[in-house]
Amino acid sequence: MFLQSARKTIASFDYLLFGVVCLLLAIGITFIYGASVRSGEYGQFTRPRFAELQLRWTVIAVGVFFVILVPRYTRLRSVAYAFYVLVVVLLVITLFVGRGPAASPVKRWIEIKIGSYKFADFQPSELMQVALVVALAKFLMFRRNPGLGAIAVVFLITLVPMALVLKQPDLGSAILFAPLPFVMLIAAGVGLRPLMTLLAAGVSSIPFAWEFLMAPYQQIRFLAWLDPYNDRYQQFEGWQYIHSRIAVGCGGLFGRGLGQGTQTSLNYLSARHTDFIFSVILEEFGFVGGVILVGLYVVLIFCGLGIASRTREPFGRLVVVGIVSLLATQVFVNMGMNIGLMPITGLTLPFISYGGSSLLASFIAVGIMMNVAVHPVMVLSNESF
Amino acid sequence: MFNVRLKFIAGIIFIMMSLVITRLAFMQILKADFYREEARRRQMRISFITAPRGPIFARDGETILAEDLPVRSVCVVINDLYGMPRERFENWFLKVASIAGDTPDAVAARVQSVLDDIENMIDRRRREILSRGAPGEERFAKQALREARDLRRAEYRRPQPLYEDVDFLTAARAEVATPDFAGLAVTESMKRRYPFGPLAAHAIGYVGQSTREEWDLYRFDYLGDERKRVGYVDVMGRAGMEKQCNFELRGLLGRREEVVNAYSQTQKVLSDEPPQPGATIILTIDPVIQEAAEKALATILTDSKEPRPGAAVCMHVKSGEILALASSPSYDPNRMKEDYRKLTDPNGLGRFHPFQDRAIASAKPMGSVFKVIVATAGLESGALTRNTTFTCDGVFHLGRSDFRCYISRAPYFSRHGPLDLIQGMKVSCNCYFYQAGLKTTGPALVEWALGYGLGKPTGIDLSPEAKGNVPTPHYPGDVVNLSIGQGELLATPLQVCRMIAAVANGGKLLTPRLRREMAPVEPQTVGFSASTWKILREGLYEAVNVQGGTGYRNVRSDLITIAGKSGTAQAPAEGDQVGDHAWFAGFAPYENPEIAFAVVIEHGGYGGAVAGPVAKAIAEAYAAEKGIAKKVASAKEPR
Repeated sequence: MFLQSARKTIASFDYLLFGVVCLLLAIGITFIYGASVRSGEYGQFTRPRFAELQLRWTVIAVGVFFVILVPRYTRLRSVAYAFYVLVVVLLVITLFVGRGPAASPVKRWIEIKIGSYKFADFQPSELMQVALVVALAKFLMFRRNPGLGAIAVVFLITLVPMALVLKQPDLGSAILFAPLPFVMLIAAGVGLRPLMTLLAAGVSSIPFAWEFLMAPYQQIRFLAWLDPYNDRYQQFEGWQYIHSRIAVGCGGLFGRGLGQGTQTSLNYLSARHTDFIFSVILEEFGFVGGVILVGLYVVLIFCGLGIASRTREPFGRLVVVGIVSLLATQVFVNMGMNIGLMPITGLTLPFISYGGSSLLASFIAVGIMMNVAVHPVMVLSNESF
Repeated sequence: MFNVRLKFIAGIIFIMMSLVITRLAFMQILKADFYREEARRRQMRISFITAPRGPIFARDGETILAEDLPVRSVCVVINDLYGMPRERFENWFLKVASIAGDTPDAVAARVQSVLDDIENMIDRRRREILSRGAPGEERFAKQALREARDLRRAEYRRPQPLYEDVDFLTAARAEVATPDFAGLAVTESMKRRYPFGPLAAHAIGYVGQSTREEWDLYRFDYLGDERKRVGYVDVMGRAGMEKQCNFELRGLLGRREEVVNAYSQTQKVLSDEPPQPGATIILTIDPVIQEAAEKALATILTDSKEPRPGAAVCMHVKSGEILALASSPSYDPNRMKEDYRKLTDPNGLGRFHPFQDRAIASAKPMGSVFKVIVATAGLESGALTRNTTFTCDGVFHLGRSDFRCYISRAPYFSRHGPLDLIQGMKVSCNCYFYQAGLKTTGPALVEWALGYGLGKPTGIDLSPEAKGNVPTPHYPGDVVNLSIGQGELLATPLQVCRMIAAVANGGKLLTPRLRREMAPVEPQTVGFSASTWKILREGLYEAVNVQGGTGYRNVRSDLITIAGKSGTAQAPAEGDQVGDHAWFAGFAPYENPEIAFAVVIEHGGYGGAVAGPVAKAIAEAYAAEKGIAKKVASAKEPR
């Protein structure tokens, strides 16, 4: 039985997807090493162990990835709502006992302690991504043409965790949720008219979101994005925009070469091993490197979409589409903020940026996708379903 | 159906990724050069290093008039005073007081003023930062706080001068004490020194800190040269040659290009041009003559019951080099800060405006010295000859006006009687020249006054220079007034000196100059004939060397033969200063003129009696320096 399922797993395992992930990991660790070692040379933020830590997290995350492949994903279907409610409760708890970066009022993660030993920081919003996808997939799986009532429920399911995450505040994670209901509804089969209504409502709600949902510092970040060279922003919020753009622009066609990026080595670029690692890559490998990297993500995303199209089981394919949407949004938002297409929101680049919980979350997402691929479920319905 | 929807989603994702690629192409291919330049600009720091200011020498090229010298200052390190145990803290002031020879209270006051200065500086900076944002904007307030903290920290760790420019012994005592005496330090810095103090202060000038306006004008470059730029705190010439040749004296700043990281730490030095010390300026000033002139002027300023300011100019009659340029009262450029209050006190020296260079920047009525020009004009126009005789009755009637000769007033109450031209110049008879001037006519007087260089700047390489005034006489009364150098006629001592030098050298109107290394400017010709010259020389000789001449009693010298003309010009009262301006202009030695000089004492009284001795002092100083032995000369046979 086990051997049989293992053989099936090996046969339907998406090697291209996994290969791309491995390639991204390699690129990531290389640049984490480069960015952090070089900053160590000049005596600031000496953390040359970033690459080593990332390697350790990679081992853990890959282990988790393979563990996830074992149980059939359909088991998630029965616990989808319970899982969702649990994570929402965790988010609420985070608002009370959560921590953030030192000396900031931000509440993003919960410290997991065993006795007095701090084991890890757990960020419920990362888990929420999966929980939300699963909950939406379960809600939409048999609704071929969701009506306005169903659409309202979909948005309710999305907006509750989104509001909680915004409250932390963590704009980056919240933004990931935003396209999710739209993508899931499209995949589930929403009609053109409700879709257009939704889009119009979404666009017209932007001013309200600006006024009521965004904190003043977020508004300033947005203004600084529009005009980073303004005297009011140049030394503050504008600094990151200016220096990441300079780093990207400096790269030119072929880049300055590995380790030759001056914006990085002279510390002009901050958060260069996490949120701004894309700028580092672009400075050192130029346009060509950028195109290759974007290409790798496109392959990753299209592998995901391929899995979705191969899957006939409605829950599974909706989950995969949701995860693809999350990944694509994250990649686009991170790249966009690196190259000045989007305001800075503090999102990592999946599989490349330094960060244990981000890596783990990405692997869980890809793991679920792969699980759907390796556990095909027979569906008796016509092709057009 | 599902696959169609997937394709739609895939299309959206594809568009988004294409957007990223497009943006990358735009930034990395089209605008790469722009961003590379931007990176280079932001990573490069260009710093400028001050060059030592050039020295100023006297005409011998050896006597230093101004130079940069290292000075030692006893400094306090505020940071060390904090956290000092109470007992040691109190002892600190006692010990510093004993080192500096001061009282502990005075030391405490100085430390307090250092603290006040730091706080004022920080406050200025804070306001500058706050002014960038809207009022009450939090992040600027935060940045201001942060910078104030950093500045304070830096300033507290930097030695702050408590006693500047201390003597050697004090510095030595402090130096010995510092190793085990926290909070005290001795620093060395460059300071402009003037070894002769007030000597030739108006010619040399003084330096001061750059102003905000200068910084605004020259912060990036001076006339396109960025190595001549002016810093926010910089040394700039404020007067005299220090101002005139400021940018030559400043030299070229050192320029260093470095690559810095985001924390302004140097990573790599790209280029390093060392500072180029400022040029050496050699003045034409002769310290001996200058000192004699200043001493004579100082006597008048301090010793008499009525202190009077004045000026003296001494010029080489062949080259136009200024040997002495004195203005009284003067100031000590070493002590500008200490003396400033005294020098500007409106009840003390301040009423004489010590910073004004009277020798070139103050035009006054020149009085009878102008009679030399009347004589030239008369002789050249043919209105006068050597033997033209006019009679002096003590008063000259023109229409309903009376013009008097000084001889008719106290203490003489007399008249000159009939005089010829030489006698008229000798006794400086006003009535003679009223009539001579009228006969010569106004336009001729004006023409010759202009020909002698009055009414326009002399072109000396020093500023600011007054240009004086030559009026156009409209009525006979104006001509009469002009004939004795009064009315609206104004001239600076330098202009008068140049005029008399032209008489001395046979009609060459020189351009005076103060910088020795500059090539002389080709002189203009005044244009009087040799016979006129002979008569003028004779008149000037007799005025000094023949009994009865206006300069006979006070100017005639046993060391050197002086020829010259006195002047006593009516002048409006200025405050408590009343009386006529006393003038004397002349040249020496008479036989072979070398120097010309002009002296004015404001409200001094009779020219020969008051200004004459100064002229004599100048001539005798020159004689003593050159070792000229007086030849017994005859008035009848000049040369």
